Amino acid sequence: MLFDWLSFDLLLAIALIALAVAALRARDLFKGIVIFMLFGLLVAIAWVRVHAPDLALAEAAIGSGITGALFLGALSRIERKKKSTAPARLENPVGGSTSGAWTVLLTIVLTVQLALAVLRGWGYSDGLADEALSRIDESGVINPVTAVILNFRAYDTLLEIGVLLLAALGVYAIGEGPTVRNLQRTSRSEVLETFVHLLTPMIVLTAGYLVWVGYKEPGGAFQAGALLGGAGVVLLLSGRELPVHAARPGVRIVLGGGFLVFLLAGLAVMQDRAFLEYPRASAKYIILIIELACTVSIGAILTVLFAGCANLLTTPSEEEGT
Amino acid sequence: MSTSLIYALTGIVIAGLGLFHYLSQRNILRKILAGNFIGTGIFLFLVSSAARQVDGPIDPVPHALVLTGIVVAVSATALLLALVCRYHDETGSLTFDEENDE
Repeated sequence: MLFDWLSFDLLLAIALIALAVAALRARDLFKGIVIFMLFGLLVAIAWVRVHAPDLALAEAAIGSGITGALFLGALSRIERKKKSTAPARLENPVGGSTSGAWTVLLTIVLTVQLALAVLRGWGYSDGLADEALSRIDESGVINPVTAVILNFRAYDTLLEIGVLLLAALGVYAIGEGPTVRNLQRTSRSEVLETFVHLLTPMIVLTAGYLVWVGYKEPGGAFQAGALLGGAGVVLLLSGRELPVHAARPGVRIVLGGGFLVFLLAGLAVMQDRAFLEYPRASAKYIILIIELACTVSIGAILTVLFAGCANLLTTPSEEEGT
Repeated sequence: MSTSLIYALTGIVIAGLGLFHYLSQRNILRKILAGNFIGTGIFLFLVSSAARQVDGPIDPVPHALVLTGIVVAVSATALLLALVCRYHDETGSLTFDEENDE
């Protein structure tokens, strides 16, 4: 065999661990964040290797993209704030002065125990694979991951959309610091403008495709929403003014719409069945409607979360002035 | 040694590394970054366990858990970062150490 997958897996595993060490031990936090984003891209490859293409899509958009943008946004905001103070504080050397030995011991014991538990119990149980796959016909979709997310375990997913909404509300509540809006449209360049013009419609198109195809192939509301969130971040970074503050009724509807549609769909089927137990005939369409609403909401919430971290949320009075 | 086992052990090592730095770092931003590594390590371990039968079916339940987990993790990170930024606005500090703050 010309190409050995096992040695590829071992190489990727070593690279992942090396990048994790490099990111966590980097003296410069900026460098650590950039390495973390690179790590996220390699994790996306690892997801493909363990047969999880759904996760690879989400990880590539979120793990390496949006999370990194959040960190960089927060870091640049903090660095700008403390120009006067010495930058030495961010270069915090590894190793706590107070809890060194205990931390090392605790971490090693936990990690080794977990690894031993895995090595001992690996392959003993089938998990829930047979149970989920044997009833896939009842779910209204073909992709088993979508079936679990939006039908079998729809209750969990509903609450997770709620968690996202709560996080956005939290960012709104604490996000308005003493300074407002510091990404001005000053540094515009032709290259950036053209790039954004071309990229944004492509992202929206891809997101739409991912929602639609999610019923049978890898894709769905979370991956598509993550892509839309990425588009929102790109637009904000390129200096566009998106209507992201909560005083606008439209923003509230978009942010809460996914949760609301999900909840209403769950309640609507309750005449002769349980909460969120869709009738088999219309399950596919109910799932599609929920996914469309959730995609828009997830994209909007991720954009708002970034705006909050990078301190782009303006207060209503200042918004009226602009 | 199967593919899924390699990635499961990798995930555990990454989670361990993250945990160590989460506990030992004093800078809050670095703690949050380490927390993200813990999360990714756990996700890697969970999803690898879904594919542990070499020729058997893939368990979709851990996939669904991790997919929503990734999105919840990013929103928790965003909330934490917004809190840290506000904390820094108010106190000028990025640690919880009393003696190090001026």
